[in-house]
Amino acid sequence: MGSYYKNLSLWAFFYPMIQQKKYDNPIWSNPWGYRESFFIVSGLLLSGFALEWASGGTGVPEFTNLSLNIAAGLLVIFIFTAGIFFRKQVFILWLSGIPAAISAVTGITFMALLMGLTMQHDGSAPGWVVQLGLSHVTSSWPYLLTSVYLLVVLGIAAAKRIIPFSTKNIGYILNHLGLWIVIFSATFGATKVERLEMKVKEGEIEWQAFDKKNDVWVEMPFAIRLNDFVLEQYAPKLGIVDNITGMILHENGKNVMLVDSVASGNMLGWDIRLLTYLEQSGKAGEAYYLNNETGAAPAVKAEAISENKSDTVVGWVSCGSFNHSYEALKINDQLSLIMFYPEPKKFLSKIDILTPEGETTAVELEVNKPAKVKGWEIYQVGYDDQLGRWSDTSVIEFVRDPWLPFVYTGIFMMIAGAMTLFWSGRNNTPTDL
Amino acid sequence: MTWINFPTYALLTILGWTIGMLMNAIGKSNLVKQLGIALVIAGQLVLTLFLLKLWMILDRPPMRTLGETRLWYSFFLPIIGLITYQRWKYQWFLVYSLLLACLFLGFNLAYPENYSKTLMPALQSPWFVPHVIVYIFSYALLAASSLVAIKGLVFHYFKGRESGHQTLALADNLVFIGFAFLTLGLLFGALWAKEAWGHYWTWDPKETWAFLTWIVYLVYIHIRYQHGQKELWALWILGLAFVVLLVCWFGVNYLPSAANSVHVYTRD
Repeated sequence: MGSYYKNLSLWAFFYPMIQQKKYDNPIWSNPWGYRESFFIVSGLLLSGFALEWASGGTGVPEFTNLSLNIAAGLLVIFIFTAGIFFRKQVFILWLSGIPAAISAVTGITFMALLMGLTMQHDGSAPGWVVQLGLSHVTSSWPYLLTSVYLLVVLGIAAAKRIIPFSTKNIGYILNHLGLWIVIFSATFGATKVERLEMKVKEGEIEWQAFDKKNDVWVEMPFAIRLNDFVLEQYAPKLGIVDNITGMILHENGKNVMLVDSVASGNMLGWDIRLLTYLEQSGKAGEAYYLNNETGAAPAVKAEAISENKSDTVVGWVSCGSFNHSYEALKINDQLSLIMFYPEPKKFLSKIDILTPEGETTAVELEVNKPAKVKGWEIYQVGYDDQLGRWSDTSVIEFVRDPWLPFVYTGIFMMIAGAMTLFWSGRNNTPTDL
Repeated sequence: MTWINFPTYALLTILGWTIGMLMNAIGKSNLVKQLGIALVIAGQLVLTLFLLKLWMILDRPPMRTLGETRLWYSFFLPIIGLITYQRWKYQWFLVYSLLLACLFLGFNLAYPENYSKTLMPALQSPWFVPHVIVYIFSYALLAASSLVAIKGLVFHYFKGRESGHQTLALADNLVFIGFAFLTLGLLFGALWAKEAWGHYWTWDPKETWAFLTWIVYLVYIHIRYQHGQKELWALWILGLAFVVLLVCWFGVNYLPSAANSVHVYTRD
């Protein structure tokens, strides 16, 4: 082994890998190992970046349905033929082996790392970032090439374990085929995903939705009538703001108090006592009173006492609304007490789905509780932020993803696979490795 | 406010853990060792009580902020340490996991959070609890495996001893179970994302880093299958994997690419 000094360096990590191959066969002679695999994945990445650069950073063009289906079909045929009929071929042996797998995973990891470090779809990205595809990794050439390489490697490896079938390989098949199905369907299904947005007003019926991606209005095969939009809010929070800079001095949430059952708190050395809390209020002169008309904002009468008890300030604080101005309580030259807009607790739309056949289905649409109709999933996404709880508009999204059942099949296979991994742990070595 | 008496609970827990750990490590007689374990379990129960109480007071699962996930981490590490100790008799491992758990509790003591009751609608889902619990449990297992790796590397480079099969066998057990849970956490997240945002995977920076974490452990497992004898590779990959995991857990909050992520623990 090398010297102590050498051992301390990072070299020690790579040394065994290189050493292992040092006196073996020359590169590109069969059977291929790690060197060849990493050459190939680097080649794929380089060609990908070159293609992307040459295309001016526009990314992979959108394929037509036909060419996409042909590509997907060819890929599946290639994987099955290779994995079942040519599995003993030296090239296919390499393609379904661990060195190729590790190189493919490394390639994808590299692309994911780039994605993890670069802001995606950032309009202000520098030109070279865009031209290399780094601002839109998932639709870039190097990502596509490494994904296809991974699909081929993973697919052949899985095919080899499926035929001939052995119960010993069930865990392996669930994990590998499951992952393959997920990646395959997510990749080829990506262009088929439709996402449309609809804004609908209370009491009105709407059947057109907007497709942001293609910038067109789409007529839905059903209409939506919004009967009622409901927004429930938490009690508002109080905070302290710097009078000069206007910055909120929240110190990671420490100087924020929820106007709840709590009657007092301490922020930046000031004791804050809540004297009166009006959930909805109006203002007459200097004072606030209970009022529930549209746009009535919450208000709090608070007392702020300084640390040495020498200063006491009493006054009203309100976050205001689209209809009322806000009010801050100045507690000294530097600081003021303010109220934040209440956070939404829950919002939902009571809608009727009307079909041309004359059917009416009543649905309560809520975040995390989508509805389904005619192959579309319907989501509650938003409302008129300006009006907040008085919003009479609901923003609804329609999603259609024809490949979703395949993705789910893959996901549930992987969940089952994770269970087998958990039960059998390290001992579950598949055959034929 | 609702931060209430966390210091009392935390100090009692740390006290139970450290005294129990010392009794178990130093004690000569079997009785003292067993009493030590009992004290560790008592400390664990105090923390459990606190978590339950917090959950009830907040009226929401206490899993929203970084500090809250640290609490769960401190909760799971000793459990893993105790099970590993009972099953494989690794004393040092129990000590390490308890120290790490104390460290995380201490961190929460030094930087107390103001627990907020508010929970954004997107997080109000039956998926919230399983998603976070499965993930943090997996993180705790994988952290434990990296402790094993660090021990192995230190032995290799500074004590001139080979890390030995035993060390890696323990790491393997932890990684395999941890990876199974990591996979579940990732997939639960995907299923939840479909319910909440209409798509199962959007390459949100947290998702990207979760994917990276998953894949590095995937590489470890494959290297172990194929090159079981290359123990140094395995140790290094395990160390590297934990760095990626930490970026995913904490680091994402500070990455410019994550400015718009829904997973950046709320800062209000």
